[in-house]
Amino acid sequence: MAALAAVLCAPTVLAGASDPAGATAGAVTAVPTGAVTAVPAGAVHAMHTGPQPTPAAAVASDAVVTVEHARECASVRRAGAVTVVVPVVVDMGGPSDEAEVSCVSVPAGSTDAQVLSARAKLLGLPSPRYAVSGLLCGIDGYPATGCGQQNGSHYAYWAYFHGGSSWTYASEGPASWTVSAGDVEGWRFEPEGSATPADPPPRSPSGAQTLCPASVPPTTTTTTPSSTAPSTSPPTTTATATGASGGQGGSGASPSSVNPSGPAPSVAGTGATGPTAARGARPDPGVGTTTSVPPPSPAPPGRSASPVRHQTPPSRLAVRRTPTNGGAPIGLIIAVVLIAALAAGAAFRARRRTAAQ
Amino acid sequence: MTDVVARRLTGVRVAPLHPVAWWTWAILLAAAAARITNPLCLGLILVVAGWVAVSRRPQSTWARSYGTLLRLGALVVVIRVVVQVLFGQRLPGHTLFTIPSLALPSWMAGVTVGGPVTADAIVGAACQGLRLAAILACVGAANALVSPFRLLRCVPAGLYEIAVAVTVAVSFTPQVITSIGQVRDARRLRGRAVSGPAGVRGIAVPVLESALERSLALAASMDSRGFGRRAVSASRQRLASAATLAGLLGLAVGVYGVLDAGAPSELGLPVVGVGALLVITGLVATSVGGRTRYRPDRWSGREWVTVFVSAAALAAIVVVGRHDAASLTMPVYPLSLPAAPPLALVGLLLAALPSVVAPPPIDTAVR
Repeated sequence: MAALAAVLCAPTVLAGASDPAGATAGAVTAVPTGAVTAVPAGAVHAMHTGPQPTPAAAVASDAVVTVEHARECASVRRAGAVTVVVPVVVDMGGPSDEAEVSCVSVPAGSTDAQVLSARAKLLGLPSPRYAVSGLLCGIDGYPATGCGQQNGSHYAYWAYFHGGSSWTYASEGPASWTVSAGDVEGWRFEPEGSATPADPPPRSPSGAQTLCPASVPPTTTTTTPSSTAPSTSPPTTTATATGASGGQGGSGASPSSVNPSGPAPSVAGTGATGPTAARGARPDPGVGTTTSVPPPSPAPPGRSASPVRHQTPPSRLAVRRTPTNGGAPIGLIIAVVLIAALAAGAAFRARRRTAAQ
Repeated sequence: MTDVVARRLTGVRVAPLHPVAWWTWAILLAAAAARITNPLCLGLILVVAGWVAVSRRPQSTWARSYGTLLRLGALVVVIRVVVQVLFGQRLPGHTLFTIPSLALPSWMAGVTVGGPVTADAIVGAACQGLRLAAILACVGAANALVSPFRLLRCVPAGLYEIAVAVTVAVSFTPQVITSIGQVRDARRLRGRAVSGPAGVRGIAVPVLESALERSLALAASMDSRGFGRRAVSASRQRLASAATLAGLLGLAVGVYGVLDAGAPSELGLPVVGVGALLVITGLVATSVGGRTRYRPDRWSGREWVTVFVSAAALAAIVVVGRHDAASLTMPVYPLSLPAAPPLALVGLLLAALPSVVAPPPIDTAVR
């Protein structure tokens, strides 16, 4: 698939305790435990060329973040496919949730639905769930069941917005919106939505330049790590590292060490917090793709750097990681055999009656 | 009625199942199918309806309607998939092939012409088509199991006008099926084409003509035999007709409110209740005349069992839908195997019981 190839072509961040294969092309930056890296420009794909790090390794101290240029890139570059970097904002909608921003690189001409799928692939999260009608039911596996459930006069649904100077409630589905440079895709889960444009937008800035600074003008697949590496992080992403709950791992909340001289995209991370550690424990430690932009708030004193963070309450993570397809195939086989037997019996009986007449 | 005569001649005393029982069974099964896109449950409904139809259909001209409506259902599935391939939503999935696409103006947002065709979209469309095919199969089974004329005899006098219209409409499909067979046979005997475009052209006109003629003849014969003649005053008759009509309208709206989850809740059961009350009033008002029925169909334990098992099937589907709605739908985006909800499958399987409970048709009972 072209979309996947383009994604693979982007600078790749590898996380692991040690990965000699990945250390060849990029700089190695040590960051504190479980820190989340953010690459504001270009798509970043968490790819494993080496052994899959175990959760324990991912949570271990001084995880190594490696930036590598994927080998697949060369072929795509030769094809000259033009890609667009689309910021995707996903807001889980809960009072303590914050919007997550992912910068997804897709081929030009993709739809927002494809962007959303590419994002899920990028993060190793469940792909978006749609109803047969095309209504989006779930993002990242949330909610696990149901689709626009009605609750009195309210609907629990994912509201779809387009960014820009401000958030606009979309008037059509993501499958019929073709992305172009400067587009921002925004999603917010409305637990008590009215299904009208009055529903609240995602709690994050709406400008593409703000969310993924190098995405405007569009970058192509010929981007190299050095060309996409801004030395500073977006100014709006000032945040405090709030350890939501949990608190396992070292909640140091210390600013990460950023290697400004290296060819790597700027890597910013906060100290490990509980939720961050939970994220590190995922099977696919897809670091560096999703950042969290808190609602605009005054920067705390003494923190001029811009730690971008990802915050997902552990409960939500549990929801996300619940396998959706847990049905045993035994029931399926029994049902199929039953149907086949009944159909064969009916056909036999019909034939016998016809012959008897 | 030939089957009645045959029964008297052979001395077989078992009366065929009440027509209303068969139609209730079929309609309840179709109502269950309308709530499902899970291909396993839909497939089970298809084979259950088919099994009962081939087991208990009498030897009559419309006994073939199940097979015919099954083929019609297959056509529906094909049309649904083709429409999906050409104009459907282009959601990301497992792309099979890409057809040339057309750029449409922005006011046609949501509609696409051409583009990538995914396995997910095709499976989703096929399951939606299958739902319609299952409903058609239920109607086909009812048509195969009971002649529409027997159903007509059961309609109360208060519903005279409606009964005539419904019976003529309902009998149209089996009449068409009968006519097709007759016209084909006639053409074959004359050495004319029965298949291909020439065959279709030669068959279509006489079939439509004869079906229409038969329907009119049916209406005329019912009228000449005094069907629906009532012994009540004209004013009372009008009042009863109005009440019945309003009641039926209320029932239709109310049933829509019950079945459609998006309808306002006050549209559901209250409207059904008011409609049923009006219909009963109309029926009672017109039944005062004291009509007698010639050789009426009896409603016994077999009929109750038939209605009960189909109601149980629908109830099982409703209960499963309340607790685990996802198991009744085909998971399309992302594509995965359908669930096999045990309660729903057992409930639907229960609906095959009339193939044992109902008395066997005359031709097999003789042997």
